[in-house]
Amino acid sequence: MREQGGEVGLSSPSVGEGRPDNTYTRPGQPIDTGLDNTMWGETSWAPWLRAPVLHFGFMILVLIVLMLSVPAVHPDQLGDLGLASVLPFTVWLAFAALIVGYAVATSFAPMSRVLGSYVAVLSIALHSLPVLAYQYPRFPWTWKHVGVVDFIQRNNAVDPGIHTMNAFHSWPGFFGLNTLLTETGGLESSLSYAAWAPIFFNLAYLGALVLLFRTITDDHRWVWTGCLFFTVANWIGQDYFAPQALAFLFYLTVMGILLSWFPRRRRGAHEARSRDRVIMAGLVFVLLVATLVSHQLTPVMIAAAAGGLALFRTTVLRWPALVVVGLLAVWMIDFARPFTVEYVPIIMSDLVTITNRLDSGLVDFGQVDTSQRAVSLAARGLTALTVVVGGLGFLRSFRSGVHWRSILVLLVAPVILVGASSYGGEILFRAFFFALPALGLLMGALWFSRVPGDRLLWSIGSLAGMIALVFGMSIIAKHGNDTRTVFRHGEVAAASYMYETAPPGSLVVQLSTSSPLRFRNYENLVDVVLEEYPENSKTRFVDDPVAFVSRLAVDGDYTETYVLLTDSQEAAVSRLGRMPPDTYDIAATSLQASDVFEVLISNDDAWLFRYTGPER
Amino acid sequence: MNTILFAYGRATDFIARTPQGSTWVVAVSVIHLTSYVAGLGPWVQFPTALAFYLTCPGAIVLDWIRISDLASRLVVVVAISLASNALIAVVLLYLGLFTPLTGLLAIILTAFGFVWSSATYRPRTGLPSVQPRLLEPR
Repeated sequence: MREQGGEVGLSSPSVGEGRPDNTYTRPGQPIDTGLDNTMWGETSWAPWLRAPVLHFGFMILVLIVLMLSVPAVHPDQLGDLGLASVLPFTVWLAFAALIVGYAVATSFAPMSRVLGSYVAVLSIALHSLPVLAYQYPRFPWTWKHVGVVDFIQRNNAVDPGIHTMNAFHSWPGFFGLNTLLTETGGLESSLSYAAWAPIFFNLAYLGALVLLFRTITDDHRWVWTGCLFFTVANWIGQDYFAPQALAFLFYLTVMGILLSWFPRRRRGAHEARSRDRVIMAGLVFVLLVATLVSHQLTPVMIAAAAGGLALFRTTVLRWPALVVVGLLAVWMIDFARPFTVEYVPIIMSDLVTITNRLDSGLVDFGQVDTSQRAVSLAARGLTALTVVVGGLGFLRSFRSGVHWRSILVLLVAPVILVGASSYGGEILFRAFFFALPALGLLMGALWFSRVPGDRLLWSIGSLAGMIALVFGMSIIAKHGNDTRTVFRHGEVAAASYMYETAPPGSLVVQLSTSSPLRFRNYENLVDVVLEEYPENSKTRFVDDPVAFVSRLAVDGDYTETYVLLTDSQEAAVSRLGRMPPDTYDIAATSLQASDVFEVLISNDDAWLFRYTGPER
Repeated sequence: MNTILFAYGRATDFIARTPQGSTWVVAVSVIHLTSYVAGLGPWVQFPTALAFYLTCPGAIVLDWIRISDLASRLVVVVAISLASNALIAVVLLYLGLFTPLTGLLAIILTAFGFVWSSATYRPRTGLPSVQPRLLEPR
C-alpha cells in the first residue's frame, strides 16, 4: 500500500479535495522533497538519513536520554520561569534533537510513519515531563474536577442546584464517564490518573487533526508539520483533566467527519458510499449530544464552526449547527435549569461590555511582578508569532491556489465566542485554542504548501528554527506559572486533612484559588477567596487578619471555619499583585499568635488554622 | 432459557462473523466485567477499564466504515467510545440509575447492540471489513 517516498493517506472520500492539481502528489507518485541530487544525493550519509530505521532508533535514543534526565529535575527549586528554570541541559538537548530530526525527516524521510512518530514522541515527551517531574497534577481546576468525580462516586448522582461548581453538575458527561472509569478501574480517586490526561488528550488530538488536515492535503509533511505546530504552540493549558479537553476532541472529530465524509461535491471528487454517510451522520449526532452534555461552551463553538462550513458551502451536512443549538436550548431549560436561572442574566449583561471581555483575562502589566510579566510576554509573543507565521503561510498557499475556505471558517468561527461571553475572563484564551488547529496548518503551509525548490538546507534550518522558537516560548508561556499551579506535598496534606475532617456547613478562607481545592467532600465547605474581594476588604484583612476572619466565622454561622495558607497561594497573590506581597506572612503570623485560632497543620508548604473563638 | 440460548447463539455468531471491532468489543467487555466483578485490584482492573471505555463500543465503527489511515481510525474509535460512554453515564444520572455496575452493563449492552447491528448488516459470507482504499487520481 505504500507509495515511494510516502504512504497512502486517508481513504475517506474528500482527501485532498482542495488542492490545486499542479502542486501535490497523488498516491503512486513520489513526494517531491526538493532534494537536489547534485548537492545532497551523492553524499555518503544521505541514504542513511532516508532510512526510517535510523529515525526510529534516533527517537528511542532521545527518549532514553529524556528518561534519564528526569531525576535531575528538582521541582522544589522552581524559579520565576517555572519548569524551564529547573530543566537540565540534557532535556533541552533532547528536545532540540527531536526538532532537528523532524525537520531533517521532512526532506529525507517524509513517510507518514516517520513524521507521525516524531510528532507523537515529541508530544509524549513534552506532556509527560511535568507528570514525571511533579508529584501532583498541575492546575487548581484539575483538583476541582476530581472533586466532582468524588461527589458522584459517593452519591451516585449529581446535584445541579448545588452551591458551588453547579455548572459541572449541569454538564456531567465528562465527570460521569470518569466516575465509571475510576470505580470500575478499582481506584479510590480519579486523582490517581488525572495528571496523565494531557498526554492522552494531546495524542488523541493528533489523530483528529490528521483526519481534519487530510481534507486539505495528503502531503504528509504538511499534515504532520501542522500537527507539530499545534502541539508546541498550544500554551493555553486546556488539555488537562477537564471537560473542555474532552469536548475539544469531539469538536475536532466532528469537523474532521464533516469535511471528510460530507464535503461539497466537486467535479472529479470521490463520493462516499451512501451507507458510510448515513453511519457517519449518526456518529456526528452522537458526538454532538455527547458534547452537549459535557461542556457548556463547546456546543456553541460547534454551532459556529459547523454553521460556517454549511454557510460557505464547504460541507453538505447542514443540520449539525441547528441541531446543536436546539438541543442546547432544551438542555439549558431542563437539566441545567438552576445554572440557566443563575447565570443567563449575567451572560446577557455581559453581551454589552465587549471591552471587559477583551481584557478581563489578561494580566495587568502595571500590577504584576517582573517574572509574571516575562511569562505573560512570552504567551502574548507566542500568540502573535503563530498569527504572523500562519498569516504568511496563508499568503504563500493562497498564491498557489489552495482551497482554504474550510480552514478559514475554522479560524474565524472562534471569534464569535469573543462576542458571546467573557466566560469568566477566559474567552480570549478559549478562542485562541479553538483557532489553533487552523493556525497550525497555516503555519505549516509556509514550508509545504508548494513544492519546494532546491534550497534544502534553508528549508530544514528555517523549519527547525521556527519549531524551536515556538517550543521555547511555549515552555515559558505554558509552564511559567508552575510555582502557583503545581502543589507540594505539604499543601496537599493540609488540604486533605481539612476536606476529610470538616463537617458539612464549614467555611474555608484562603488568599487565592491556587491551592489543591475541593477534591474531596467538597460540598461540605464554602470557599472565601480573598484576592477576589474588593480592595477595601483586602485592606481590612491585611490590617487585622484575626478580626476579619473571626467576623466572617461569626456572621456566617458556619459549623467550622478554617484558614488555609499555602506557598502556591503566596506565589499567586505576590506574582499577580492582587494582594500586598507580605500578606501571607502577616496572616500566618497573626493567626498563629491569636488565641481564637488553633493550628491544625503546620509544615514547610502550608498552614491550616481553625477558628475556636466565640460563636454568634 | 430459550432467550438466553438464543442470545448466546447470536453473540457467538457475531464473534465468528465479525472479526474486527466486534470481537474486540466482546473480548474487552468480558475481560473487564470479569476483573470488576472479581475485584482483582487496580493493577488489573484499571488497564482493562481503560481499554474498555476507550474502545467500546466505538470499535464497531471499524466494521462499519472504511478508514485506512491509522491515526484517523484510532481517533474515530476513541471519540465515539468516549462520547457513547459519556452519554450513557448522563442518561443513567438523569434517570437516577447511576452506579458503576449499571454503567458498565449499559455500555456493554450498547456495545452489543452495535455488534448486533454490525453483524446483521453484513452478508453472511465473507468479511471485507476495513480494507484500505486507495485514492484514485482525478
